[in-house]
Amino acid sequence: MAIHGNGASLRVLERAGVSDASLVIAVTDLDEVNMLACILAKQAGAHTTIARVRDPDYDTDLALASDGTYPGVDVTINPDHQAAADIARLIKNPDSSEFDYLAGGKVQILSYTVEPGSPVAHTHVRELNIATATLVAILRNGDVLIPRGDTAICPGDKVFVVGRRGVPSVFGWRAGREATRLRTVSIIGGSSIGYYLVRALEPLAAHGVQLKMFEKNAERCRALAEAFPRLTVIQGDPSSLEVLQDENAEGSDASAVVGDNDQSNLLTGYLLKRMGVPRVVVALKRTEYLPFTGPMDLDATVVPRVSAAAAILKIIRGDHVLSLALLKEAQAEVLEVLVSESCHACHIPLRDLGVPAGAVIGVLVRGGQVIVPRGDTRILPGDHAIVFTVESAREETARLFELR
Amino acid sequence: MAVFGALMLAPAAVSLLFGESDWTAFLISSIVTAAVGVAGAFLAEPGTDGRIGNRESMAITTLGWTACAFFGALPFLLTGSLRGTADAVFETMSGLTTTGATVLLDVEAQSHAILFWRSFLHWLGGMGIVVLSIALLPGLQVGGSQLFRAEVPGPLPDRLEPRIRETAQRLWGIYIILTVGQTVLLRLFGMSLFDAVAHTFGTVATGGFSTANKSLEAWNSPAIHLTVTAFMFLAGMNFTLHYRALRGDFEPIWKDDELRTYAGIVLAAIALVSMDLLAHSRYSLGNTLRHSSFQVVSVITTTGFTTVDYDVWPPLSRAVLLLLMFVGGSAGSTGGAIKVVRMNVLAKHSVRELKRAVYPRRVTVIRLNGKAVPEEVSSAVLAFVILYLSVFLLSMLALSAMGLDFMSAVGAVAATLGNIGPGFGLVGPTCNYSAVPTIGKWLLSFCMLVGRLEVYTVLSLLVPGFWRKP
Repeated sequence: MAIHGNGASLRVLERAGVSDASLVIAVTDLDEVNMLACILAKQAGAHTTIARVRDPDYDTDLALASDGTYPGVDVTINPDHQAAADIARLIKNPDSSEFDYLAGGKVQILSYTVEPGSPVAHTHVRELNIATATLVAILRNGDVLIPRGDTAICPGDKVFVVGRRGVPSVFGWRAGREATRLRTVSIIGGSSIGYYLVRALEPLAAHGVQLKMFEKNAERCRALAEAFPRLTVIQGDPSSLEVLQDENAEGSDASAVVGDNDQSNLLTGYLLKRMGVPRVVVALKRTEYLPFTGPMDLDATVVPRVSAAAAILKIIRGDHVLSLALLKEAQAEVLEVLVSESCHACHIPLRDLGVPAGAVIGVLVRGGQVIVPRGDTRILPGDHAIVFTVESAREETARLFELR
Repeated sequence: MAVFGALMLAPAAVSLLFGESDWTAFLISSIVTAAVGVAGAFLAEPGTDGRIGNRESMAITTLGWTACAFFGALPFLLTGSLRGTADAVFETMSGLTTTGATVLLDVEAQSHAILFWRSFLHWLGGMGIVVLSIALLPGLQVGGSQLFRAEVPGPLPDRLEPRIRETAQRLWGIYIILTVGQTVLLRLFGMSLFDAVAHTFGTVATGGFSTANKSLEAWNSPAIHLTVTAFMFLAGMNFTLHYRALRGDFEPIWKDDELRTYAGIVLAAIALVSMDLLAHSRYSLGNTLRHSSFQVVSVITTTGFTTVDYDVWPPLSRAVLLLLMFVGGSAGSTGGAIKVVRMNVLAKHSVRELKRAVYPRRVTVIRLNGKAVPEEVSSAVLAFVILYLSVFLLSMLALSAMGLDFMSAVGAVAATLGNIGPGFGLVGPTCNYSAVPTIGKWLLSFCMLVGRLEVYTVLSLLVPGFWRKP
């Protein structure tokens, strides 16, 4: 149901029924409207409120608000901050292009692109014979495939793997890539994403990783240099080859392109990749270019809006789904389900369970142990099940586990 | 001015106390000065809105200081201890600017009142400069003096006047604590009360007027020398750090960049001079350490007391002392010269420019105590040092033209511009400035004023546009 009106108006909010809403999300372009809407909704009786707030000036204000002194906004989402966190995670784990921890950090999900020379290229899934992780999905030409035993793995496929923390990295080598050690990370663009990214990566600098920032604007350069003593700030146009070469951008082990302009980000990202930077992550404001980034060979793309949406979804799926990774514009999801006593799926061997065709049970976490399920494995109450599902199979999967 | 006149009654009291006859001279000077001050206050042009901006502050500071030097010279002239305005003004200026350069041939022949007046001028000048450098100059932003602010503790009202008053009270409290502490210690170690007070005034103000011809060499007591060395070092520290120490807030003191540099320079200089002296002179190890530390601290804090004639020291030691004359004390202390914090910024700036030659696109920030130093400040510091050295070179040229030998000219200008006192050669520790020609004395008086008021304050008055309405 859609209601047309000013979201900061109490009358409009009442018409939308905020007084008995369990969740109110305010994500307009204006921070102030979002915060006001949340405060009004909270007063009217909404259970939980989420506001998109981008201006860091409000950070401390909202910290006050969230400790209960001034009730109003329960959770704030900052798309740039969220995107920076995603990029930082991708950079810190150099072998995957999408990456998340699940089950409180015990389980990893990550993805690799299968290169032509990889030992797993042109093999069938059943030949992989990995006992420690589950291959949950293959992304081929923009389509999500759920792997079966006879599915062939082709070069250029992006494979998604779920397993115990640390184990999927071994698989990463099998997928055709040596683990690279980070020595130099270059960040292209001193935007607000760039700022948050440096903040997130600064601990690496203490361990000897060189952080380089390329930014055209002198004032921004100065402000960044003031804020981060360990950051090497380079003033120059990052889309100029001369600047990139003089400052040895091609010598970086990873690069994040987070400038204000999508087009120049794509160009710079492409240049860096061509110059031989092993990992290039590009931030894009709009999703419309995403389908065309494939041939550019970028290692990952991050869209702040999508990052924020994933973060909000994590909060929405509150009760049974503890954490969630959203893959590529909601084509697929990874659910973490706490199996309850009354669940239909309990005590039945998996091969008889009738898991929907678009879903795969990745791993089970039972009493702190990570179990890679086989056909005869049974789900027990109290298990955390990490379930991969494509969008079309989500409803059916949810019914299986009695999800809302 | 009226206050300054009233303060002249203090030496008059000292005079009476010692049963000397020159109290009348001080009484007359006092009445004249006070009268001029009161008259000035009445005659002050009515109708101006009384707004005190940057330019007014600079003019008041410079002219006030100069006026005090002229009126403060009256007692010297009236008692007949000095003949000639140039000599009397030089001596007063030397006192007020806490320089300690003297034209008196025989200090010991002077009355107690005159000796007290000289030391008292130091003490007043020191009081003035601490407040000036911490409370007033940072607001005027001259020569990067924003660096001096060093987070004056406590609430800071936005308006200039209450801020100065508030800060002044705190700083003077510290000043008085130091004064009382040192006087008590010196008295304990065997100085007469009069000598103890006079030398304390000379120390906490980093002045350098002594009551003896041979300065502190006259008291051959390691305890006294050590006490004076310690208090000179304290007086050369930023007074806001003392304030923090009194409040038990030691953390920022250990971490203060300027204090670390200051202590580092002092220790390195002592080590260098000690080694040089051990190799080339006949002092025992104990005496070497005592004299080298005393002399190094005396010169870097721009005090100018001596325990020994350093002019006969080997070349390396003298060269070290000459360099220290340019470094000077910390910002916000009673010390003069360029100041350690400016040296800090200068060094960091130079290193950065070197790096910039290699990586022209790199943007780096100069940090002091972890905080970024704005570009305007570091370039103001650079300009300050250039102006300081220009004044030094031009004055040296002028003195040479008057017939002074090279070392004497260098020493005289470095020692007056840096508010130290004794220089080298003709104006070395065992000699004094009486041999400098009259015009040279005026020039050196001007140097003292320029050095004391952070160069900009005085020189900006000479800028053609200064007196015009903007």
